[in-house]
Amino acid sequence: MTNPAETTSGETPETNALPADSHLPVDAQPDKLAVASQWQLTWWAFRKHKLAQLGLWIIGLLYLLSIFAEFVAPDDPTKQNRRAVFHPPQMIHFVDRTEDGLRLRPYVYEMDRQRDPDTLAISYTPSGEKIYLRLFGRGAEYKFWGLWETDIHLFATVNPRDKFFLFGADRLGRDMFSRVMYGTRISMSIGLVGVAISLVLGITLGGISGYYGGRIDAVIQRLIEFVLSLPTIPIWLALAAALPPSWPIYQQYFVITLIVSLVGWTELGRVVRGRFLAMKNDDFVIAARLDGASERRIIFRHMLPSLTSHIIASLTLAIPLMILAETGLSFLGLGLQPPAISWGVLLKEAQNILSISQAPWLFIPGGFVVIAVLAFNFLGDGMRDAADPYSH
Amino acid sequence: MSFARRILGTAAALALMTPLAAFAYEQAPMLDAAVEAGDLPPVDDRLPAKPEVIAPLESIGTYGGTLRRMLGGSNDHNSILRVVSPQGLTRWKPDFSEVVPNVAESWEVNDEGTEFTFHLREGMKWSDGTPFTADDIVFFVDDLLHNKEFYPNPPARFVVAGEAMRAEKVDDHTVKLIFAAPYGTFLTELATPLAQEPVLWAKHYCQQFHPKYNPDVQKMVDETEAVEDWPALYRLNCGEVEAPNRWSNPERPTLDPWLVTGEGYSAGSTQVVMERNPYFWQVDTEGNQLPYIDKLQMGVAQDNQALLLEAVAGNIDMQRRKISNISNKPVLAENMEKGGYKILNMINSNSNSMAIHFNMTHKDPVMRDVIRNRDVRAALSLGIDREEIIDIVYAGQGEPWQIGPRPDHVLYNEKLGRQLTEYDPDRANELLDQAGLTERDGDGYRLLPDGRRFTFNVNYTGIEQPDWGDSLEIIKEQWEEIGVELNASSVERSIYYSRGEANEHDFMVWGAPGGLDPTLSPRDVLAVHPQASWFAIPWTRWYLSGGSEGEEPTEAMKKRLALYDAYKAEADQGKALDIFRQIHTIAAEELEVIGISLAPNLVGVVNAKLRNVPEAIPASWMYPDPGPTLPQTYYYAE
Repeated sequence: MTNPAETTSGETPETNALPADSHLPVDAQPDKLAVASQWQLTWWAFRKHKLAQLGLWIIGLLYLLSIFAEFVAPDDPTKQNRRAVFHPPQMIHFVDRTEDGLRLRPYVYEMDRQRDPDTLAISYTPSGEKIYLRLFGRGAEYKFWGLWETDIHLFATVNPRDKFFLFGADRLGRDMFSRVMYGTRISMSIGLVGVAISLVLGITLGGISGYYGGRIDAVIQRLIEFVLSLPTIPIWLALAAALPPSWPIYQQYFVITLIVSLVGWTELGRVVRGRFLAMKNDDFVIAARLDGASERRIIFRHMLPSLTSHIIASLTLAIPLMILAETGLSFLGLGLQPPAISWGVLLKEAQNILSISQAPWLFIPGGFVVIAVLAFNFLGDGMRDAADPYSH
Repeated sequence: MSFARRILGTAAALALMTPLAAFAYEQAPMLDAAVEAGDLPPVDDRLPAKPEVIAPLESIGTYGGTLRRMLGGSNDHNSILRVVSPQGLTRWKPDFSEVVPNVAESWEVNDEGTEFTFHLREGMKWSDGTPFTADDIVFFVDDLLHNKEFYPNPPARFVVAGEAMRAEKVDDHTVKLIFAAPYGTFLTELATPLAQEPVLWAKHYCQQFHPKYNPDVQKMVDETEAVEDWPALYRLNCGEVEAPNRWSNPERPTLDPWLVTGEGYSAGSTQVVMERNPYFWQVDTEGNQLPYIDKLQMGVAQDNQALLLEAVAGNIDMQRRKISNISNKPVLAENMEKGGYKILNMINSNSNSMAIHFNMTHKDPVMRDVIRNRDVRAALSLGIDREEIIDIVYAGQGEPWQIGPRPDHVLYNEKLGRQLTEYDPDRANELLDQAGLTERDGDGYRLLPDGRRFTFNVNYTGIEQPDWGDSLEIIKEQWEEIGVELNASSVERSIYYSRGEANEHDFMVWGAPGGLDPTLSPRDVLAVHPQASWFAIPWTRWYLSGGSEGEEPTEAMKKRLALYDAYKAEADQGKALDIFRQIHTIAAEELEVIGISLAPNLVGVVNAKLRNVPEAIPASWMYPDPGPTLPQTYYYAE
C-alpha cells in the first residue's frame, strides 16, 4: 500500500517536472476550460498520459478475455490429453503454400510425439501435416455464462478432433492457452471483489470515524491500529490453512478474497477519516449544513467528491496488490488449489525442475501477472495525476 | 524346515571362510592418530575374535571419502536407517532371495520351529567399546518386550499364538529365543527393518532409563522437558527403530557402521554428519575393517524439487529416496554427464504405484452400504482408464494392474492382479444402475439413496507424491462419465495419517507394496496394519487387539486373518505359500482395494566413481534399500 501522505495530491506538492499548466489540454479554449465539468477536465488530463492509456487498453483487454474466457479458449482447460503431454507451443502460420499457389488461411503444423526408450524424455517433431484454423469454429462444449450450451469458439481447428496449442500443453496435456484464459478470469476477479470490499469498508468506516469523531472515532482508530499491527502473511497462511477441505474450491476462493480484503481496507480508512476530519469545518461543508442539507447529502454530494483522486489512485494500486497476494498464496499451496485455475495455480504447477528443463512455456502465466500488474500501476499513476485537474 | 536348514548351510559356509584369529587387521587412516595416542585400542582388539568377512561385490576398496545424501525435511529418519542399514540378527542377501547371518554368527532351529538358538560373535563390541553379549538381547526381551508400561501391546512380529517371545541365555554368546507355537517366518522377519529391536539397545547404556535398574528414573523424567514417563524418556535417549530420535543422541552405543556426530538429526537440523564406527565388526576378504567410506553427510532439503536439483547438480553420491519417480528420469538422464553420476536402476518390489483403499468401515452408514457393494467397487474400477494414466503420469511405464504379487513372483494371482482393469464406462454405468444409484442431479452426478451426491472426498500427500495428484485429477474426469464425483486435495503427511487413523476417509490412496514381498507386506489383502490397511482400520484394530477393540470384520476377512495366523505358524515353506494363495484368492473376490498401474521401476543416482554398488537394486521397505547391498563396502575409485 502506498503511504497516504504521498498520494493525497491535493495537499502535498507534486514532484512533477512539467510546467504546472501542461496537464491542461492545449486545444482547449480558456472559456471551454472554465465551464468544463470535473469529469471532462479529468478525461482531458488523462488523455495526455500515454502509458496510462496503454494500461487502460491492456486492462480492458484482459477483462474482455476473462468475461469471454470460455469463448476465447479453444479447449476445455481441464481436459487431459495423453497425446499432448508437454506439447510445445505452436506458431500460427498465415500464408499457406499449396499446389494452387499462395493462400491466406491460418494453420499450424501437426506434431508427432516420441518417447525416448532410454531416458523416457518426450519430444515432438512435425509430421508434415497441417492443421487448419478458422474463426468461430466448433470445439469443446461449454455453457456460456451458465446460460446456454454452445460449442462455438473464437477460433478453433477446422476439424474439431484436431488440437492446437498456442501456448503449449502442460504435463497432463492440457491446453495452456485455455488454462491461461480461465486463470485470467479468476485472478482478475479476485482483485475486483477484494478491492470492492476494501473500498466499501474503508470509505464507510473511515467516513464515520472522521465525520462523527469522538468515541466512535477512537474505537474505529484502535480497530485499524489493531488490524495494521497484525503480521499479514502468517495471518493469511493460518486462515487459508484453516479452510475446511470439503468446501467447494470457489467457496474457498471467495473466503480468501474476504481474508485478503479484511486486511486491505485500513489504509484507505485512515486517509478518508483524515480528510473528513479536515473538511468537516470547511466553509462549503458548513454552508451545506446551514442550508439544511441532510448528512447523507453532505457526505456523498459535498465531501466524497473531493476525495475521488485519492480513492481512484488507491484503488488502481490495490488491484495489482490483490492479484499478487492471491498468486502468492496459491504459490505457497494455501490459496486456490487445483483443479481451480488461476495464474497462481498455473505458476505453482510450473514450480518444478521438470517444467524448467522440459517445458519452459509453462511460465507464460507469469508474464500475464507482470503485464497486468504493470498495466494497473500505469493506469493508477495516470488517474492520480488526472483526477485533480486544478491542482497544478 | 528346509528353508531354515538352507540358511544354516550358508552360515556354515561363511564361517569356514573366516580367517584365523592371528590375522592382523587393517584400519582406516583416520583412526591411526587416535590409536597412537592411546585413545582407541588397536584394531585387532576392537574387532570380534572372528569378525564377519565380507567379499566386496567388485573389488577390495580403499579408505576415505564422504558419501553425500539428502534427507527430505525433518521427518526423513528412515532415509538414514536405509543407508546405515538396520543391523539385525539376520539380513537379506543383496538379491533379496533369502536371509544370511548378520549380528548373529549362526543359529539353530528346533524341529518344531519354536526355538531359535543364536550364536553371537565372541568379542564383538558396541560402538563405545563395551562388549555386546547375550545379556543385551535378554534385556530387550525380559525388561522391555514383557514390560506392559513399555509395550502395552507387544509388537506383532514378536508375538505368536497370543504370547510374546521369551529369551533364555545359554552363555555369554549364545541366546535362545522361544515362541509358544511354530514361527516359520521368524528368520526372514528378523531381516526386516522393524525387527531390529532385539539388538538395537545396549543394556549397559540404556538401563539407566529403566526403573528396574535405576530407581531414580522418575527424577530424570521430571527433569526432562516434554517427557511424561520412563518409556518416553527411554525412547528419547535410546531411540526407536523407526523414529528421528534414534539419530539424535550421539552417545547411544550402536552396532552400526557409522555413528551420528554433533546434534545428530533433530528438529531444525540442516545437516547430519555420521563418522565411521571404530568398533564395526565386519572386515573385507583382505582383513580391512569396514566401512571404507569415512563419513556420511546428509543435507536436509525442504522439498523433493530441491532434492532433485541437488541430484542433478551432482551433489548426491547415492540415493533414490524422494527422487525415484520414473517421471524424473528425463531430467536425470539429461544432466548425467554434467553431474558426474549414473542412473541407478531400482527394481520395484511394490505391486502398484497407487492403490485406492475404499473405506469398507465408513462412519456414514449410507456411504458404507454403497461402498460395501462389490458391484459399485467393480464399477469404479472399470471407470478408470488406466492406460491413459500410465501414459501421462508414469511415462508409459507400467501396465493396468490392481494389487498383489508381480507376474514373475511365485505367488502371482492373475485375478488379484488383472481383474476389472479394462476401461469400460458402459459396463460401469450398468453396474451402478443395478446397484440402485439411478437418480442423478442437475450436474449429472448420481445420488446416494438418501439424496446426497455420490462424492468421494480424498486427501493425499501431494508434496511427496505429486503423481497421485495427477492420477486423481485424471480419475476425476473419468469418473464424471459414470456420474461419480471425486474431490482430491493435497494435505501434509501428518494430516493424512490423522484423518485415516480417525477413520474419516471415503477412500485413501497409497502405494501398494507386496509385489515381490507379498508375505512380508500383506496389508492390502489383510487388515493388519493400523497405519496402512486403510480399507478397514476398525477391522485392523479388532485383529491386533484380539477382538477387544475396533469392529468385527466380515466373514471373508475373518477367514483370511485365520489363514494368516496359520501361515505364520507353518514351518514348511511350500505349505505356507499355499496358505497365502488362499488368502489372495479371497482378497481377489472381495476387491476391497483397487490399483492403477503395476509399479514401474524406479530411478536413482549414483556417483560415477562409486564402486561396489550393484547394477540394479530391489527397492522395498522390507528390504530397506540400499542397506542390504552393504554401503560399508562402497568406495571411491581414483
